[in-house]
Amino acid sequence: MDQRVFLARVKRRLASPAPANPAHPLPPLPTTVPEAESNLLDPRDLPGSFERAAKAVSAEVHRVNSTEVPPDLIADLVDRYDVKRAVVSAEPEVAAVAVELRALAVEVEPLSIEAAARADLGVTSATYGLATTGTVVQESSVAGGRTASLLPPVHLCVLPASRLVPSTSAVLRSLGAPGRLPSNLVLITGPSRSGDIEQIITLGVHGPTALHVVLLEGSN
Amino acid sequence: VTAVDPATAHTLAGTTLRERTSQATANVRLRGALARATARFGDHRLAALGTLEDPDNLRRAARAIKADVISRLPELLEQFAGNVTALGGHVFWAADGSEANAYIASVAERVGARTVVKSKSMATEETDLNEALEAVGCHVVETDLGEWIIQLAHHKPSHIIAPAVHLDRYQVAEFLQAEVTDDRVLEAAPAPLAAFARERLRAEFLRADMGISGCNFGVAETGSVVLVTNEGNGRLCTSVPRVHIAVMGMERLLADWNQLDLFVNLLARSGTGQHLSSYTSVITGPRREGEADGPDELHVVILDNGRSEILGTEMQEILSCIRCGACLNVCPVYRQIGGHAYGWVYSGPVGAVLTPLLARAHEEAAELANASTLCGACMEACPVSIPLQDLLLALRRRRAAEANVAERAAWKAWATAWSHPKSFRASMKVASTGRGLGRFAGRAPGLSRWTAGRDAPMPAAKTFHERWRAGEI
Repeated sequence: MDQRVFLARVKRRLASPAPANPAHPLPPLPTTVPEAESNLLDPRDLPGSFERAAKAVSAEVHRVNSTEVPPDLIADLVDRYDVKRAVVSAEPEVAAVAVELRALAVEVEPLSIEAAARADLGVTSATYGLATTGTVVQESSVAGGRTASLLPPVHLCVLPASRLVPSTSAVLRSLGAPGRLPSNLVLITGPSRSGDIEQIITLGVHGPTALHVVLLEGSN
Repeated sequence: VTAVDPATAHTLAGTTLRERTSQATANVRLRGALARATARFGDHRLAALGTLEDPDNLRRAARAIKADVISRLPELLEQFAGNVTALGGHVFWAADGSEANAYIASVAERVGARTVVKSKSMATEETDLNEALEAVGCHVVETDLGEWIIQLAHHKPSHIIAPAVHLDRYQVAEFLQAEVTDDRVLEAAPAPLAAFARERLRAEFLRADMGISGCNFGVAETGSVVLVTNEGNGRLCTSVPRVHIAVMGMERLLADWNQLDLFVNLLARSGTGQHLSSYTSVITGPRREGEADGPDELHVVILDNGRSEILGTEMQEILSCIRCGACLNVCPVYRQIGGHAYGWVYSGPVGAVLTPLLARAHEEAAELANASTLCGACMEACPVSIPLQDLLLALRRRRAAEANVAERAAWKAWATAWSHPKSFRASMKVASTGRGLGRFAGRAPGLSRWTAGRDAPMPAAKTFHERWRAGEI
């Protein structure tokens, strides 16, 4: 249908406003959209809040007092998940991890759908971490794509603690400006999960079974 | 493209609410599954909302905001579509389901799509899109675990966010076992069944030419499509195939990102009781230069399909629904009968309102407004505070206005009689005199349905008025 015809029909219908509901009158439109503030957040301790929230959704959080991911931690993950192949995003923060992985004889490929589909591990950074919900934010324009955090069974996310913000509001409310948005922005809160069979939570139904976040708390 | 006849795809036509509810309440397995699921969803919702400073204030604000958006739909839809197009996306305006299906099928034919992967979309359940795509030779695969299960079972969704809630693990195992091509025997437990689904559906994702999604929210100021999922199938459908088509009911719009911030927080907490869903994806245009994945083509189908007819009427607020399913979980009727008894796509209180409005072709739909106790638990649970009980009552009024003359005359006579003390007393006297006949009431014509499941009340030997005057009280 033509846009004009479609919208003309909607306009015609709205020309007579809907009758008021006397039993439950419509509340007034708020001047500002209220924020969903949660008592799960300790505003004085964003790393601690992030850690608690991420663990509550089955992510593993590694807090390190460094600006780089410790080689031991990478070696442990390679060992634990029997990682033979890895795919890395285009973010500069993961370059050092790629070097460590290669040193451990892991085949490391740049991001492509094919490489991500055969990888045992996907490594990315994040543009923000949300402390209230333990969320990491990925932008396709920064990561160079979407699937490094999606197709491999294990997702390793390197997050500098300086990128922690309290909640969704700090990120979403700043993104409305034109030209600011990537083609794909995703808030990732824990690994993939489903409760579709008897509401019993199963991890890793389509996306990663495990999410590891390395929180870099060292200062430069 | 052959239009699919909804009459054959859903159970609404040719059955009555009474028949469908009788069938549902006799199903012990179904009632066990419903009790388990709705209690769990309800508990998680309360726990998640309980961590917020003032959830009722948020719900009030959400109601006012969404009502404002609906009243400004023409300008906001135009802004949304303009932004989608400016980013290189395509917008198709569909007056009804057959227009939407024909457009999507034509895209599938143009790009030579053989395998089409879908993430959960209630709008495409309305339009029976799968059948339309199969008619042009596409292999259509639902990829949400619950949706895949019911696709294999040839069932319709029985809950807005948990489509296979009516099946237990043993039933799921049977349907999935039929998909096993080697000699494996699947264990009837959630983890191994989900692992099998992952393996099978991963292969479908990687070979798919086209991905179809719904749209939880459209954001007008940036032309963004927002998808909220937990399994990651929504991300896969919109990242791997070279074409992505999002189907959006025209009311799913928000004006800006401040509103989106509020609504993603409310949706996750009200739906599954999570603080945020595992994946909240915001898609703004197709893949860009230098990106390793993502669709080259993005289409947004904006669907009317009866929605504009609701505008300007007392039912308008039903268009504020964000499809979280919270009203289902708290509804004393849904909790007993489940989703299929509602006969169409949407169930629970929201379904009882939407179905008569969107599936008006079926005269059977009108009686769904009776599938409610008007207790108001639905409005209390609704993240947008839609006064569902008022809407249900309004639908009953509409139906009563169309009721037959004899019934209306009988009610009117009753109302007149009981408005005057004399005639009220006379009617009470008749009841107590007829006391001896009470035990036959079950066999009386017109009362047999009422007494089939309960005892007829026995009128007292003396009326209250008689005892009062005699000084017995």
